[in-house]
Amino acid sequence: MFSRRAFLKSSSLALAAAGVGGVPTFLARAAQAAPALGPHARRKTLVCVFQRGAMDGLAAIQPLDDPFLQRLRPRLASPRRGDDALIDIGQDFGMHPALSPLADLYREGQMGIVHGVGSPVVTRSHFDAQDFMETGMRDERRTRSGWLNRASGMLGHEAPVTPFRAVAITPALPVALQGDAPALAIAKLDDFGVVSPGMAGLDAAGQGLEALYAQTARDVLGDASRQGFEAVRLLEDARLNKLEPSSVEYPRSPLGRSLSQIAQLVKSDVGLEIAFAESGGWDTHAQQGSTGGAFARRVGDLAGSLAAFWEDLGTHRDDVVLMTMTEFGRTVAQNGSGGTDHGRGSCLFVLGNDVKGATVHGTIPTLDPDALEDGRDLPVTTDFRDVFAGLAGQHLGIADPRSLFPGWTGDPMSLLA
Amino acid sequence: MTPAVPLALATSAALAGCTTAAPPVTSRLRLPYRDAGLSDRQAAAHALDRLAFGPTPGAVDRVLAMGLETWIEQQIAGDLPDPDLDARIEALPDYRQSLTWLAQHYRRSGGVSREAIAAGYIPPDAEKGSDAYREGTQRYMRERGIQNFRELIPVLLDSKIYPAVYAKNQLREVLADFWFNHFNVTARGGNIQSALVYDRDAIRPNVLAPFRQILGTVARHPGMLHYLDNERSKAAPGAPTPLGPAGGGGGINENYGRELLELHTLGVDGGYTQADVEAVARAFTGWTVWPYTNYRRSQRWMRDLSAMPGALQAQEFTFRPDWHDAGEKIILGQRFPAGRGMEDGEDVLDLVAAHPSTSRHLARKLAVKFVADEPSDTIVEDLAEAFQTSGGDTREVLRALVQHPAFWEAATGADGQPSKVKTPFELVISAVRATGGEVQRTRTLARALEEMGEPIYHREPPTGFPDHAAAWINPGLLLNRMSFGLQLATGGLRGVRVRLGTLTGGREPESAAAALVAYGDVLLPGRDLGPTSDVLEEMVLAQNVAQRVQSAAEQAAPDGPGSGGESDGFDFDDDAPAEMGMSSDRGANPERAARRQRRAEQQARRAARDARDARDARRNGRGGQTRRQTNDAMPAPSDQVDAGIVVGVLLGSPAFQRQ
Repeated sequence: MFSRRAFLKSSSLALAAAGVGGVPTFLARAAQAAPALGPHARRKTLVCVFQRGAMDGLAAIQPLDDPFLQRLRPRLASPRRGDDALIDIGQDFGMHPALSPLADLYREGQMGIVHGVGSPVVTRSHFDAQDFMETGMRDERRTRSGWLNRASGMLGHEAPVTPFRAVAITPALPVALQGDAPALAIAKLDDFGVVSPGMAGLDAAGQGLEALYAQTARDVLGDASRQGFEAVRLLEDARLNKLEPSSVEYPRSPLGRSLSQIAQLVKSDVGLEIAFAESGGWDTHAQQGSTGGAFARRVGDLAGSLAAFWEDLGTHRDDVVLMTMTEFGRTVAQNGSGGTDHGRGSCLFVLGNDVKGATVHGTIPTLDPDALEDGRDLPVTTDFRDVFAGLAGQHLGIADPRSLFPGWTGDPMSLLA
Repeated sequence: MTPAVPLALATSAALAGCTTAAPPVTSRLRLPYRDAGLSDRQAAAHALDRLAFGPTPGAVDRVLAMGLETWIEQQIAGDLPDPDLDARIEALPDYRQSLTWLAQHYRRSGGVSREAIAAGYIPPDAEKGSDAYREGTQRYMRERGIQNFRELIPVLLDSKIYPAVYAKNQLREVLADFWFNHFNVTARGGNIQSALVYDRDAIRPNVLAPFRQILGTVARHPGMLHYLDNERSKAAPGAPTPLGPAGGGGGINENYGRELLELHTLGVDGGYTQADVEAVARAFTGWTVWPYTNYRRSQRWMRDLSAMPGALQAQEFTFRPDWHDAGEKIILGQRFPAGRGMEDGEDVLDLVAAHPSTSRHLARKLAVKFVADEPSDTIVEDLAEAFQTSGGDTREVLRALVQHPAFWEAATGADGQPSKVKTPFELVISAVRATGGEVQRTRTLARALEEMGEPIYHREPPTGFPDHAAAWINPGLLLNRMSFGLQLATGGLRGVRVRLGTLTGGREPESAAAALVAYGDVLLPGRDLGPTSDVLEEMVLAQNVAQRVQSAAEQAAPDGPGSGGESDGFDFDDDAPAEMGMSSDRGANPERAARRQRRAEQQARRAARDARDARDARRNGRGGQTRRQTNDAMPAPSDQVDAGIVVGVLLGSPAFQRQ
C-alpha cells in the first residue's frame, strides 16, 4: 500500500504544499511523531464524565436516617431493606442499589464521593449551568474557553504534545475542551480518518484534501484539518503497533462505548492526558422511579460503564483518575409527575488508585425544608471549582491550579493521597 | 419503504428550486449586493446558499434570468406550485394520518404482545422469545394493520429530506429547519409519531407565519406538551382551580414554563426571574394531551370532561380546568387575576410574543442563521426593529434581512470566504443538490448526518442543534465531512445516485484541468477557486490514480470499516435513552469482520479491474477525448473513479464547507 508518509516526503504534492508557504510544521512533526511515543512517554490522564441533564445526587447517594427524605419523595426514596435495598456505605449514607457495580471499588478505597457539590452561580437553566461548569468563566463570553482546554495548556511537563493530548469521545467538541489548545472530538475511533468503503484512489483524495486544507487560513477549518490529518497518522501507527479491542464487556450504551475507546487510547500510549465522555438522560422530570425505573437505568449504566472502564485499564490504573460531573442537582421534593425539577447541589464520583476513597467528602444538611436553599433544593456546600482544580492540580501536575478558574477565590480540594 | 412516485421527476427544473414559468412579481426589494462588492452572479450564488440549500446545476443562471429580486420575492412568498414534490410527499405511507391513528398503528412490540396474549393469538403457556410468541405477535399485528414504530422512521426522514433537496420553495425548507430547531422536540424515546406530526402540523405550515401563530401552535401541540412535560403540570393540591380546590397528587412542572421564556421567546438574558418561571408554569397548568394511547383512560377522560365547564379538546390537545391553577399570578410585572382558565396561557403567549426581549432574541437567532456566527449589533438591532414593528412578521424580517448590507457582506466575510460554515444538514443537502443527486433512500443520508454530529429529529436538549461553526467543526467531524463528499461523489452512498456526466452537460472534460474548471463552476458557482484548482490540478496531474489504485489493490486488500458498511439502518435504539442509534461495536464481531474483509477484497479486485480497463482504454486512445454520454447511462467505472475523486475532493474542500 502506498504509504502516506512516503508520499509526503517524495511527491510533488508536498512540494506544492511547500510552494504556498513552506512545509507545514504539522507535516514535519507528524513524520517524526511516532518514534517519540512509547512506554517512556507514559503520562497521567484525567478522565471527565459529564452527566448531562442534572443527576439527582440525592437519589444516587441518599442519607440513611433523614426522616424528610421519605416524607418529601415517597415515590423516589429507595428501600432500606430487601433485595434491592440501599447499599450502606457508612457515614449514614446509602448508595442507590443500581450503583452496585461500584460498591466494591468504593469499599476498597479506589473511589470517593463528594456530596453537595455544585455551582456558586444560581441558575436552573441546563444550558447556563453546563456552560458555567464547562468554562468556569462567567462574563467573558467572547474570550471564554473550556476549563479542560485551559488545563491542557498548563500541563506541568515537557513531554511532546500529540493531537491526542485532549480528546472527547463525543460527536461534537464539548465546551469544556473548546479554546486555544488543540483538542480532538472523535465519535468512533474505528471510523476516524478519510474513509470511503471500497473506494479506489482514496489515498490520492486524502492527500489532495490534506494539501487543500494545508493552504487554508488559520481559521476553524484550517486548524481542525491540520490536527485531524496529524491524528489520523498517529492513530494509524498506534493501530499497527498495539491498539487492540478490549476483552472487557462494557454496557452497550453511548457511555460504555465512549469509555472503552478512552481505555484503548490510554493503553495505546498515544499521549492522552485529558479525556472527556458524556452521558445523557438525567433530566428526570417525570416518572423517575425508585429502585427500578428511569433513574435506576441511567445510574446502572453509569456504574456499569465506570466499573468496566476501571477493570479494562489494568496496570494503567495508576496513571488515571476519573471524575464525574453534572450541572446541578434536583429538587429535594418529588414533583407532581413522579419526577424532580431543577435544583442546586448534587454529588460526584472520583475513581483513582490514590483517591481518598471509601469516603463521602463534603456535607449535606438535614433535608428539613428550613435548611434547604429556597426551601426546596439541596444547597451547594462545595464549589465544583474546588474539586476540579484540586484534581487537575494534583493529578496532572498543574502548578498553579488557582489560575484555572479566573475569579475563583476558593481552595483546591485535596482528594488524592 | 420506497417512494411510489417515479424518481424520474428529479429533473433539473425540479432541482433548481425556481421556475421560469411563475408569474412575474413586481419587485420592491433593493438588494445592496453591489455595495458589498458582489457581481450579479456572486450575489445569486450567495442567495442560493443562504435562502436555499445551495445551488443545483444551472440554478444560478436561471435565477439571473428571472432576476434575483424576483427569485427572492418568490421565495419569501413561498407559494410556488410544486406538484412533483407534493405528489412525492403525499405518496409517503401514512404521512397524513393523525397522531392517534399513528400511535395505534405504529407500536412498540412489548405492548402489542400483551394485547396479542389477551386476544388469544399467543398461547398462554408460550414463553417470551419462543416461536409461538413471536408468530402470534406477528399474526396479531398483520391482522390488525399494526406495524413496528420503526417502520415510520423512513417516512419521518423522507418528509424532511425530500423537500429539502427538491422543493421549489427552498426558503420554506430552510425555515422549517430553523423553526424546528428553535422549538426543538425529540423523536427519541418512542416519539417518532409525535415528531412527525409536530413537524407536519405545528412547524411546516407556519414557517412564514407571524411569530405569535407558530408560538401558539407549538404551545398547544402534543409534541411540545409531552417533550417539555407540560402535559403533566397540574395545580398543586389545594390550589384554587375554576372548579374548586385542586385534588391531591398534582403539582406544577416548570419545564415548559422555563424553556418558553429562555429558549422560545425572551432569551436567557431577557429579564425574567425564577418567580416568573413558576408563575408561567402555573398559567399553563391544565394544558395537556388527550390520553390517546390508552383506551380506558380516554374513556374516563371523555366521561369526566363532558361534565366539566371550560374543558376543551381539539384533536389531541386538551385543556382540563380541574388541573388549572386559577390563583392570581404576577408575570413579568403584569397581574393575571384569579379565577381564569385557559386564557391565562394564551395571555402569557401574547405577552411574551410582543416583548422587546423576544424581538431581540429572535433577531439574533435569525442573524446567526443567515448572516454570521457573531452577527454585528447593527444587523441584530435592525432585524429586531423589523420584528417588533411588524408584530413578529417573519416575511418582513426576511425582507429587512436581504436589503441589509450585512447579509451580502457575509458572502466574503472571513478572508474573502463566506462567513458561515454549513451545518451537517446544509452540507449534505447542498452536496446532493449540487451534484444533481437522486435520493432513493433517505436513511443513508440520515446516517451520514449522524456521523457528522446531526442526528436529525433526535436532538434531546431543548436548545436544539447549535448554529455556529465551532460546534460542527473539529478534527474528527471535519474528516467525516470529507469522507461524506467522497462517498457521495464515488457512488459509495447506497440509495443516492449521482450522475457526474450530467453536471458537465454530458460531455466528459477534455483534460484534468478542464474537469476542475467545469466541476468547480457547477459545485461552487461564483467562488474564487484559484488556489483550490492549483492544488487539485497538481493532484490529478501528478498522480496516475488508476495505476496507484491497481498497485494498492495488488499489494493489500483495503482495510477499514467504511461508513456505508454492513448495517445500512438508521436504527435508533429506543431502549437506550441517550443512544445515538448507530450500529455499534462493528469491530467486535468476528463474523462481521470477516464479511467486511471479504467485501473489501472484492472491492479491491473490482478496483483493480477497473483500473486495468481504464489503462487499456487510454492505450486505445479513448482517454482524454471528448465523448458523449447519455444522461441515463452511468459513466464507465474507470472514468467515474477519476471524476468521482475530483468531485469528491471539491465537496470535501474548505470552500464547499462554507456558504
